[in-house]
Amino acid sequence: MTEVRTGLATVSGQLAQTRSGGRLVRRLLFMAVAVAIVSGGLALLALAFSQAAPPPPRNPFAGGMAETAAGGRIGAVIIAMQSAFYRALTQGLQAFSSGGAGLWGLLGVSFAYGVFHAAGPGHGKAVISGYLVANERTLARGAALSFAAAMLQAVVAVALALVLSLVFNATAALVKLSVTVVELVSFALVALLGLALTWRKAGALATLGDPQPADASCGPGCDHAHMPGPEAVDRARDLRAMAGVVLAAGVRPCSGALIVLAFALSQQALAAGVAATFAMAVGTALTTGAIAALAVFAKRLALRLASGGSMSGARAMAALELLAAAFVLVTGLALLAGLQAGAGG
Amino acid sequence: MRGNSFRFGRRMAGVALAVAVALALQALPALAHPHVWVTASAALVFDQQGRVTAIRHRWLFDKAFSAYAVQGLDKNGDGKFSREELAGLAKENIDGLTEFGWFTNLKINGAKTTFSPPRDGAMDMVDGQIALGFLLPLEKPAAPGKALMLDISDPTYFVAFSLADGDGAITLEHAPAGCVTSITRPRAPPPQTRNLTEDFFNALNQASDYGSQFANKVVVACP
Repeated sequence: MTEVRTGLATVSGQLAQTRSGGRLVRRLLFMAVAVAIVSGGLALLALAFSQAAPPPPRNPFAGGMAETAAGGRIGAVIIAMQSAFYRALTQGLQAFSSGGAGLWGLLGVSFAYGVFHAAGPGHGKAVISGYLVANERTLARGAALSFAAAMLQAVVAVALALVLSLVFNATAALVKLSVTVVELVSFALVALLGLALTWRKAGALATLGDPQPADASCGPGCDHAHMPGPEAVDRARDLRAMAGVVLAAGVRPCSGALIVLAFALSQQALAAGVAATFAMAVGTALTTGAIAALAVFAKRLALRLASGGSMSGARAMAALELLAAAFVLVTGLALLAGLQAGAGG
Repeated sequence: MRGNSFRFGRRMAGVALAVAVALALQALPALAHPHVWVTASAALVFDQQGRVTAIRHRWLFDKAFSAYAVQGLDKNGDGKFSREELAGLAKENIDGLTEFGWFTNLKINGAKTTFSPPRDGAMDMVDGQIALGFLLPLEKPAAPGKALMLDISDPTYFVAFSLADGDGAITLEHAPAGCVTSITRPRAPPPQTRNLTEDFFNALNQASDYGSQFANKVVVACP
């Protein structure tokens, strides 16, 4: 009797194993397909735009860093605004240090520069909007993420500039090297975050395909990501994911801020430079927040279109979330690849 | 049945649209707004046969980038940046410019000129602005004839080049008598630091027209 029971248990254990094994294969397959679709789509888009695209911008001068912004006709206008505000910013700083201008004008110009500076594609916005589309998130959450990422960017810029310049009397070449290291870390974070998101979302999609209804109370083989865990666990995981998003999106300082801070130091107007950097970050947060809001609205629209509780709708949503997660992963990998290509060249 | 598949199609279209928007946000070609402004002047160096042998460049950088570039280089701490202290930076810059063709486009009678490695590279600082000077020799000296065209610009627009004010922007060294220089500048004058508002709109005008960077054209004709 006992033997029979043990035998039964073994069989059911094996069954559960093969089922979870099949799920793992399906999960990995979903991940691969999603990554392939996203990279294929990005490659096609890049190809479509490549004829009009000028060569990527690079700073030829020692110690300088490259920076990207939007392209196309709208991009030209944005670039024009950026460069005009950037010019006004550096000149405002100079005027301020020589006592010729007020602080508010400088802060206003810095804020405006931040608004336009962030109005192009950048990995921070890709991470935040990818995360928002992959998860059910509110507008407030999107705004908080954008603000935190922008503030982190300012804090890193100020800390880097102060430590490197005041403590180590570093040269521009050393500043550039440090930025490259921070950049490597931030791109790796993007890829890691994308991988974690893709893994989770592929799991959700794989479980959705199971004949077993997802909300049935399931055994020990049940996928962890799909189990409605205690609220505390959810919140902890949420916080971890959001911290990851903020770090990945905001840890790399923008080169404009580093130039402005170095200039402020040379003009003995460090406090004004720091204030300008934070004003810039507020402007950046505004633009990134607007793009995050777009992502939240797009997700809501997709949810509405897919609503009705049917299986196909749920599948379409799970697939969309998976693609958004894969988008973050592919972005991270592309950034890392670009970094390597740049280092090799 | 039909309504069902219609609904499904609409759903998929919605999903596809959301994905497309997300992708389009990221994949547009990347451009930079200039972080570096250079005011360029150049001298065309002629030999005794009236051929151009080299271009002597002098590039003046904007104050903000100058401050960034020279940080930590005041080795003796006297608050000044001497040629010696800037020598390393000059060498790095000139080496780094090799793959950009020194941003120098020179056409003589329609033929694009190639250059030999630069010489006499040096940097100095004037009133908070660093200046980079170097001599860029032509691989094969050539007489300008009716049309020598010089254009100093960065096609990626990371560096915003403009020619210095006045006739001093382009000079001819040891040129045969009768050579004429004409400079075409962008419509708006290059930004100056006199008036913030005026400068702001000048910069805007310049930058919104990509062609303007190529409008810094120099044509030299010799008899």
